[in-house]
Amino acid sequence: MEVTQVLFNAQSIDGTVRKNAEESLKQFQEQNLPGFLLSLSGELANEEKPIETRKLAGLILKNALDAKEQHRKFELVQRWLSLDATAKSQIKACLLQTLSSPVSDARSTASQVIAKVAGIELPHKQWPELIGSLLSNVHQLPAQAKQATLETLGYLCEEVSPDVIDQDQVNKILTAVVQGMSSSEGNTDVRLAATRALYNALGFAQANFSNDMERDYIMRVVCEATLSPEVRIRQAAFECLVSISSTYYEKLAPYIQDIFNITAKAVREDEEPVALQAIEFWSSICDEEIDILEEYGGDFTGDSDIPCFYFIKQALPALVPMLLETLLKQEEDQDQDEGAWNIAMAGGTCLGLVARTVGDDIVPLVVPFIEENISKPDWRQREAATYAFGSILEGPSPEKLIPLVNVALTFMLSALTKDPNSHVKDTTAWTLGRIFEFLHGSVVDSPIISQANCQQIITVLLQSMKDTPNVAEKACGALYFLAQGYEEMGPSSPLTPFFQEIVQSLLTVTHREDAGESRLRTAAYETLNEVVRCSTDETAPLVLQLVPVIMMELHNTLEGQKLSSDEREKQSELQGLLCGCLQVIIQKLGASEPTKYVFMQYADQIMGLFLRVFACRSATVHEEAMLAIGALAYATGADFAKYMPEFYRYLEMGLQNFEEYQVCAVTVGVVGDISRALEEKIVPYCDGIMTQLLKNLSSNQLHRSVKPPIFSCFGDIALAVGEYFEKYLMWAMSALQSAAELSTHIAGDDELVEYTNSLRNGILEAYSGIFQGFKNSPKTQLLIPYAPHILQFLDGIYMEKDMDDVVMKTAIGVLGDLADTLGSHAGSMIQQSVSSKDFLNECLSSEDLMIKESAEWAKLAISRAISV
Amino acid sequence: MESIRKINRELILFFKRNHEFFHVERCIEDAAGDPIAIKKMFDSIPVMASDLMSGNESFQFAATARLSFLLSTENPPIDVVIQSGVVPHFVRFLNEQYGLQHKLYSVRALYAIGKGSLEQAVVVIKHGAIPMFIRLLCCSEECYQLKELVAAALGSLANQSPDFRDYVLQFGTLTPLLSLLDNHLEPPMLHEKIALLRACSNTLAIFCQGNPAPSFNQIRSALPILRRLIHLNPPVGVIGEVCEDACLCLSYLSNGSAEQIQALIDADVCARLVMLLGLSDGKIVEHVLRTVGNIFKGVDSQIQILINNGVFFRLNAILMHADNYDVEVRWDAACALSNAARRGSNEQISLHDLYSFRFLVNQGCIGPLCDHILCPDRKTSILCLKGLKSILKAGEIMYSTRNLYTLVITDFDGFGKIEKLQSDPDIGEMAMKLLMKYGV
Repeated sequence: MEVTQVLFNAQSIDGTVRKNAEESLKQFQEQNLPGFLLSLSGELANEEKPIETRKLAGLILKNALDAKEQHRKFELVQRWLSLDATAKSQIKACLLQTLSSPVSDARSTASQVIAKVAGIELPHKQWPELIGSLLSNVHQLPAQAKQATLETLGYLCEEVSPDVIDQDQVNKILTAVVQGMSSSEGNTDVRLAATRALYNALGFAQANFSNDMERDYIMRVVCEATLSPEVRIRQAAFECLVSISSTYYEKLAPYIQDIFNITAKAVREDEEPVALQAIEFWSSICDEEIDILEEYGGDFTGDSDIPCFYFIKQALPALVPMLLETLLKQEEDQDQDEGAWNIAMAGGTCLGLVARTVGDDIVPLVVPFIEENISKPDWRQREAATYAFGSILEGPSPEKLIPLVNVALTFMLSALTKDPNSHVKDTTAWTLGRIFEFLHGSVVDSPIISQANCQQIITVLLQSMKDTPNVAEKACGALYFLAQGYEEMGPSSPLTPFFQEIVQSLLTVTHREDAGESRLRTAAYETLNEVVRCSTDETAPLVLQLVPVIMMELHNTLEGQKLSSDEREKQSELQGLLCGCLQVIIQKLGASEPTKYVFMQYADQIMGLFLRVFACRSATVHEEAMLAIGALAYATGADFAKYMPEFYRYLEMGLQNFEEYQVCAVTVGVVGDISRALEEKIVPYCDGIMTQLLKNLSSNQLHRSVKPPIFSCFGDIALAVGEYFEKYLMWAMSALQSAAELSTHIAGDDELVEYTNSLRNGILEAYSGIFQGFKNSPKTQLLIPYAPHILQFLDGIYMEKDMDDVVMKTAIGVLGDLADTLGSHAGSMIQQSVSSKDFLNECLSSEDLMIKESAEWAKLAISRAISV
Repeated sequence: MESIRKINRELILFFKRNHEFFHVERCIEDAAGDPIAIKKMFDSIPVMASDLMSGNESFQFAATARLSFLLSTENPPIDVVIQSGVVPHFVRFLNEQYGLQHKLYSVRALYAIGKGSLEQAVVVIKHGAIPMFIRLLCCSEECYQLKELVAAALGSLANQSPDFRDYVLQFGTLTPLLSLLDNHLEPPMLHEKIALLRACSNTLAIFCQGNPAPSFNQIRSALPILRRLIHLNPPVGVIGEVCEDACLCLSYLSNGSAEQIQALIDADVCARLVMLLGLSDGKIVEHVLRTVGNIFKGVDSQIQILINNGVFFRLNAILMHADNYDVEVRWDAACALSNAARRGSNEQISLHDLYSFRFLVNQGCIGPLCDHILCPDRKTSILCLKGLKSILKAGEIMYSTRNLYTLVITDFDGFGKIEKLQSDPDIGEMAMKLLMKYGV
């Protein structure tokens, strides 16, 4: 097969030609995979072929090795590993050869493919000669090959995890990379490639950073690179510094002064991409120190292995002025661009982090800047002063801030109405929001809002909701936090007199022509929801009046027919907001008996609307409507049964939605809600639900994040139906068992550990639900055969020592459930189990009250079980 | 929504896990009268014991409730419960920090054990229940039902034996008991309040009785309260029972030395007592008659007080309508008369009284006396003999030629029965003398 022509055709403008080409590529791949891959690699390596086909060949090759979806990726890896060894080594030879190609695109594509192959093979101890052969190139080759090799090393480090490569090879890689970075390297492209490679290789340099000499050397080279005449190198070097600041925070002390000088210069003088990275360095240091100090605060026994070096505190007198300067570098119209990011914004963000790191100390350094600039004629100065003030509102103590706020509040309110500049108004509204977020509410002793100024605040905010969308959006945000601060203020809220007016204004905002800009409509609904959520009994009649209003809005969205796909998307979004609003209202009114009683008159109609929202789409279900139905189920309780015949098909549809896995997850949650509401009345639907849930679990297409909630849902159903669960027991237990086995041994990054813990929690919740569901029924002995495995599972996760507090609490509860339901049958098993006793003791002495409480209950259940 | 879900899920689990606690009342209700359920509960006594020893108050509560229920069934498994080691926990739950209902169940359980055998009651005392009971009696809260149970429990312990009684009294139990009675005598008479009064009066009666009798000095402080109790009006229903208990107490307290009788007289109870003789309530009348009888054993001045209050009129009335009363009452009335006759001198018994005496005797007083001559209780025997002797003596005064009472006694085969007592080592001599003097 002439692969070049096919690849060429595959990029044709003519759809038919392209389609035919794609089809024949597919056929080739299916009929002879080794041959297919081999010819692709040959194409890539062949200097006589056109660059377009070489690039595409490389791309197809890359896609044959990796995929985004977890299950697809797994398949591809297995396929590559089982490929004929000769073919593989030929392919790899072609790839390595391409690194020396004079064509830059070919080299770059080859680099990426090599890294992918390495990502598969190195963990299996294959292709051991790769790194050696790459490194042997570095010293001899022409600059372009050298650059490609360094790039490959960088990708490789990104692709494989550090424990796969032994220290000797790490040292060699680092040496090559650092040499490539050093000022003695004359070729800019090589230096850039080396600097970018280092960025990825930093994770491998643990041992080297522990060695003073090696570390000094690396740091010196990185710092030198920040002074390179080439802007891309400077940017890459600062990126390295940012990465070092979080990975090797504890090693930074000797260099921090130099780094400060470098970053200060970059922030003040360098081009924006470089300056942004320089600011990012300090933000990153703040993040580190906030984490460390938080751990200090939470636990004085000092679990943290890393001490705080108080870099920010020390740099404060120089750092703060530097950041304040950046605030004056705003862009015109930055407010209109939602994704805007510039020096001023980065500087403000960093200032906020600094305030959180050092607390009160920042206040005297910022106040003079505010005072000097807040009334200046130049809008930039007024905006910067306001932004500075808003940025430091989180971190310092209320005692320190409240006197300032008391002075500033009137000024801010007046600026929000009168300032001629929209930027200033935007930032002022944002700052008011921050004031209400951090300094208003039950956490603060001396309230900043009195009866006297409450009226004024609300008037100003409602007025600003008529301003430009970006200002109005911030005003909504401020009102959001204002309402939130009055939550749990007792039976009477200061907002009560204004409730009607606030709701009316927010509804008016949602109808603005330009409510689609600056996410204004969303913000207005979010605020409306918060106002409703935090309302008191006094305003319950007004919330009730809101029900038909929102219902009517939702009804109106259902009227339009034959919508374009763009209109359809907008309709769906608006329905989402309205369903979300109804959800909050349902929860609010459902929480107290008198309002629930009145609300119930609307229940049938609301459910009817939700069903119509579902009917708007053919293939998928509406996520927010689904959630709102969950809330409705809680409010209606067992009466929800009357909606089930009609609702069930949407429930099933939601459970089958693998593509939009969030929809599936939400539906799984709603199954739980409905189980709790219906209790044994859910039985008629259990066959269908359980079948679908089990199907979902066995599918490798469904996003893994949905699986833990499915297990929890088993527990919910079992609790609802009790011994009736017998019907599904065998299937559910076998699914739980295999998931449990998978989740015991894990090694991986934080994300995987987190996922595994959520999976364990789901499994454990299922066990709890099943055991407690069966308790006191004559069928408890059906559970006995499963007990040994569950105990083994508990042993397993205890031994692994990586469970989080939530899992610990649930797990120890399961131990208790086992004893509670099985009584003496479980008693002896528990006594014989490897680590139950240690596990229980550890939980009993836990400082987490939830764990302790759970453990005490388990202890009780066990001693009851062994008492007979 | 996610957090609401989590809370709801945990709430349901919480209810299921603490099912024992949340359903304890219903579970007990269902088990009442269901032997299978009771058997099941019985089998889980070790589990309940384990619950009591745990640190979980809810489970301790539920187990206490169940155990107290089991102990209130027929054939309560007192020994099994004691052996499971829970008694000290019941006592511990009487501490302030535990809830009222929890205390109630604990007291009920201890009460049930205290009502058992002597050995079983010892266990309750051994674990220090009495001081805890007294603390509960003294507590300032108006927990009528709890105090009622505590009073009853103390009574049941004291009822075990005179030693137990003295042991209970030794803790100063009487004072809080009396002040409870004192504080709750005022209207309105709620149902719970009356029940509490009744339990206290009942326990007070237990404190007053027994052989050997309690030291009079230890319980004489009850007299003012007893006076108030016998004045409760109308003495019917539960109030009547309280009054009855008080009369019973007085009958015990009056059974003693002249000094003791004087204490009663000083407490100003006689007028009311004589008035109570006019009641139709047999029990009250019976106790009062016994008291009156005891007072008749006192010195002349003491007897005079009764006579001044018209005791003979009342006795007369009782025996006149003897059919309205039990044999016991008639007998007690006769005893009282017997005492009066025996003690009374001519000066004290006026001619009018003598005639009424005769009338009373004719109305059937001799019958009961004769009926009880051969009573296995020696004391009663003696009393009968002495009464008959006094009657015969009175007959002598009245009928100088022919003692008509001799004929009546013969009609009731009195002398035949007296003959049978002749060989008795204690009272044989007395019987013989009577026969020789009055026998036909």
